[in-house]
Amino acid sequence: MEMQEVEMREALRQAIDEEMTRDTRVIVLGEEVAEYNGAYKVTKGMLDKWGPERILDTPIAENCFAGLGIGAAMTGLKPIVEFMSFNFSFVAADQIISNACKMYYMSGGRFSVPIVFRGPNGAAAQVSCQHSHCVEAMYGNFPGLIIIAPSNPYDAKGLLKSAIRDPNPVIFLENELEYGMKMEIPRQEYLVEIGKAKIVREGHHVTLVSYSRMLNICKGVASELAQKGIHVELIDLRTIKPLDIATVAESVRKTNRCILVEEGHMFAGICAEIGFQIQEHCFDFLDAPIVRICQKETPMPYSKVLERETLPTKAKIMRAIEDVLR
Amino acid sequence: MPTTLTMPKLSPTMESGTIVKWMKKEGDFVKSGEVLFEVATDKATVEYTALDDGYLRKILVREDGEAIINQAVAIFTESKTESIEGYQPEGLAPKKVQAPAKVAAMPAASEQPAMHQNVGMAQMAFTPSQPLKGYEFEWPRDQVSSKILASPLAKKLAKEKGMDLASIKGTGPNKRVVKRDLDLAQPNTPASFGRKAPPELAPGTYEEEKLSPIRKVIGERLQGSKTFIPHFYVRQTVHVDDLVDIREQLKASDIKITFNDFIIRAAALALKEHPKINSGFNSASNTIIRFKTIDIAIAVSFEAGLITPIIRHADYKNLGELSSEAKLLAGRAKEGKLQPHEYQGGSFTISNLGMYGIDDFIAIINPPQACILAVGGIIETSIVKQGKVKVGKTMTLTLSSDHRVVDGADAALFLQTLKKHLEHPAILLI
Amino acid sequence: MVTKQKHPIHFFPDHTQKLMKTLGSEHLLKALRAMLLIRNFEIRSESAYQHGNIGGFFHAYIGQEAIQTACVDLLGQKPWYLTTYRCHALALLLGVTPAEAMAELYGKATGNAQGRGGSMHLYADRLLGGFGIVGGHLPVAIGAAFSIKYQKQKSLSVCFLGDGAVAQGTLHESLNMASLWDLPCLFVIENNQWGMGTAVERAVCMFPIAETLAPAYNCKGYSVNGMDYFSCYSCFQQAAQEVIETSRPVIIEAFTERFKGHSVSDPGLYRSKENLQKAMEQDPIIRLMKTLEAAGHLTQEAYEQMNKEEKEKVIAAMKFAEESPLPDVMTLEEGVFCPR
Repeated sequence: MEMQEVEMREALRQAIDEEMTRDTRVIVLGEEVAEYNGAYKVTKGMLDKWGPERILDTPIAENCFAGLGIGAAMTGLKPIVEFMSFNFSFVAADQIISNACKMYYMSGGRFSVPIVFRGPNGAAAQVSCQHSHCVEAMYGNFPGLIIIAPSNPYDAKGLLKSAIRDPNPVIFLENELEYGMKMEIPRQEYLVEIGKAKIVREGHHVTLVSYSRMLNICKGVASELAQKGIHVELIDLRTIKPLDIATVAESVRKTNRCILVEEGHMFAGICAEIGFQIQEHCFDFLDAPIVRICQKETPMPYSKVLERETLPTKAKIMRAIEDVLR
Repeated sequence: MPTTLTMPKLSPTMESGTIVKWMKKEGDFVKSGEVLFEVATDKATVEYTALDDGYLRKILVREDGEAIINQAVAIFTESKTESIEGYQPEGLAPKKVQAPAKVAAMPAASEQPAMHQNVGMAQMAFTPSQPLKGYEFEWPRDQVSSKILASPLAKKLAKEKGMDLASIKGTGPNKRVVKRDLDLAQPNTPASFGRKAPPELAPGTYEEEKLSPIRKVIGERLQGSKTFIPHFYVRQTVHVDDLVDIREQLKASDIKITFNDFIIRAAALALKEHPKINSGFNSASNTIIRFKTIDIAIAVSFEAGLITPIIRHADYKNLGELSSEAKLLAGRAKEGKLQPHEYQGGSFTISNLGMYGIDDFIAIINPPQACILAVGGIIETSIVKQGKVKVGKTMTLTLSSDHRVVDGADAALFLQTLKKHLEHPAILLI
Repeated sequence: MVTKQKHPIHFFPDHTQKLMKTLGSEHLLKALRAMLLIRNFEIRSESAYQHGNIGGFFHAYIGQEAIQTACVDLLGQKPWYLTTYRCHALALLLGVTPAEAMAELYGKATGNAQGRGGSMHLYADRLLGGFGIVGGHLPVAIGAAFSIKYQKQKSLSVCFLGDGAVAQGTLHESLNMASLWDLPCLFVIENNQWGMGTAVERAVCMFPIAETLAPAYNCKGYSVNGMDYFSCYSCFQQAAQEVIETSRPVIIEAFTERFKGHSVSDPGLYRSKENLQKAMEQDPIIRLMKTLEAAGHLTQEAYEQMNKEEKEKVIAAMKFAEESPLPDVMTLEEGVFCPR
């Protein structure tokens, strides 16, 4: 199999490009996606290739262009709407919540909304309180949305292609800090199935579950602990909703211990949901309480040390694993 | 066909309304869109306009009257003259004010198992309590810790393996028992600390056994004896060093005499001297029986129960003869081969638990006899002789007597004679 | 309280005589019948609501019938249509049968959205809804216009909204975007003078609205008498043509009256009796009826008969709704996601 080394942003661009080739109904809209080549260069070169009819620069009006995407999706097109960051999606919350995820059910199955909302989610480098939100727990609470959060270029490309092909509204969460992540991926076309977690590393001492940028931190933790003789089974959720609880539960039944890591806040976060589901499926198999490492209950502070302290770190995760094995 | 107009719901939370004013009267023609009445709802007073044309024939709820949603308020007809005779208006009936529900009757006292039924004054019935249902067997806990901490996995595995969590040392946080602790726990050998599976039977489980004929007889006779005979008891310790010595001497010459044989002989002699003891009581005629022959019964325990073969004319037999007969009778008793005449009757009974190591005991009188002698085992103990403490062998005799026949002094004197004979055993040999 | 400066309204000419000739009596009688169906449907289902058969919110279109009737008469099934929660009329005009609509209001399995949408969310082949959030559907409307343009269809998106929605930011965003991107969207502001209980002049600083907004967004804007079928038809004729030919947005403001409260729970106490009486004298149905009668196309009896027939259709629809089964609760969780 022929391989290519790509950055995350390139993997995403390839996904969009391939789907636009495959289906003339696919269009991209968002702020700076066309002439600027994308705020994070994900859509670099796309305007030149596809022209302004399919790669559309929008004014700064999230509610409007999200709604426009929804209207277009209801009437025959397959739009990809980029939020420059998911913090700005809140301006479009009414469109996502009242329209996109309700339309199929509310119309009795008459109108579907095959739309993808994508963009960077979570913290970047000291971008402070209003630009660092993790939105998965919030949107996850509304039935009708698919929520995807890949951790690496291979999954990102495969999942974005699947998301574009899906007839339902998808929230596709990327990470600003990982756009430059490099990886070897196949040149040939491939898809990654939505709703399937991946066991990144096998182990038997404890199950470690995460997704997106935090997963990569967990990878480092797992390697280091392996040297100490602690073998962590690391699971990358890849899709947050629908949650692949079967894979997680099977692992916990094997290891009897579980640590959950997310970048989002503690209260009513994704770890709270997974932890509860694990307790439902694996109660008799738990040899220790389920532990979650999340962002602390503060708005994201600006100062470097404060930002680091409020987020999960390698040290915090390692300590939690060592504690749970005591 | 007349139609019913019912109270409409004029706000989402409205449940009933009061008609403030009727704008039309009975007999009027009402046009669609005309205001029919004003109604006060929970929110405001609003006008209700007629939906269709028609004649208002009957007002069912007058002004100031209240109606619930969908309750009939008026009857309409399409034509002026159509009859409404016998027409039943449709709609819901207004709810009646509920009388407060009667206080629920006290639940009937649960069935108590028949415990203390009084069957006249004669005998109370004593029955066993029913076995406890739903009893949770709890391993007794260490007094110090009130709760065992264990992970759900450890609890599940402990239950499956029949291990007692209380006996397992926990090495998790807060001394929590975790899976690895179960792996390290003691294996379940009979002598181990780890207990086996918890008991299966509910506490108080029982079986009932019917009485065998012999047990029935024993039961009836001895219950009657204990209940109706006024027993009193006199105890006497006897120094038996010399007796033991004589027995050893006889043994050296291959003559095997048991201690009980000596006691029979001594008793026979003593009964001769104390005929009051060789008596009985006839409870049918309320008379004292004075036995004219000394017939000593010996209590023999065997598989089916207890029986008392009798040595007749015991005073006419010497130690050797008594010994043989006793042995013979006891053997036959144990085989269940005694004839009724061999165990029915007797004037005095001896019961010996000495061979079981018993120090002393109190026997129940064997009616219609008046006395029974209970013999304990020989123990080596400290005795006082002439002011000095010495080691010696003693045996304790307890005489149970029927106070209708025998008084304390009689019993005491008998025992003294018996004691004298046993402590000076030479007399038993002649 | 600031006295707001009112600009004069330039009402679109009605061209009644011309239209009578070009449309013909048959067409116009059909239009009248359509309006009577809407009127009867709204009156009777409001009554059904008051008797507990319909729950939730109920917003009647009574008094405004001329606007949407004229629009659909003209444009038919060609455009994509969107409207507010006051959507029964548009649904009936676009092919939803009274039975299906009533069953939906009753929450039955045979309803328009199988009982899942209710009064505010009716749909048809070309009707994208019934929307519940004020102003929330405006961006969706320009999305439909975008789709038409993208797929090179000679059509337009028609977006009905109320005077209350003018205050929402989405109107500005949608007009801006439609104008910027040349999107064929016709915005029809049905100004019935009241946003729930608030008079429009207490909510919107412009007067008139469409004529004031249009130049700011570099597009055409028209005021029209929403109580007059012929005015509406003429205006739509011009505006729709402009939208299709230029592929640019146009705003219409139809001045109308609603004869009922905002919704069924609103007793409308903020309006004086005289005010309401005056409004009802403008009844678009009576107005059209009188015009046709004067022209000899309609007698009073024929009108009564027509009204009776439409009333009976609605009564039959209510019977159908009453007799229809409720949705099977086992199907509750089905249909959240579109199958792949």
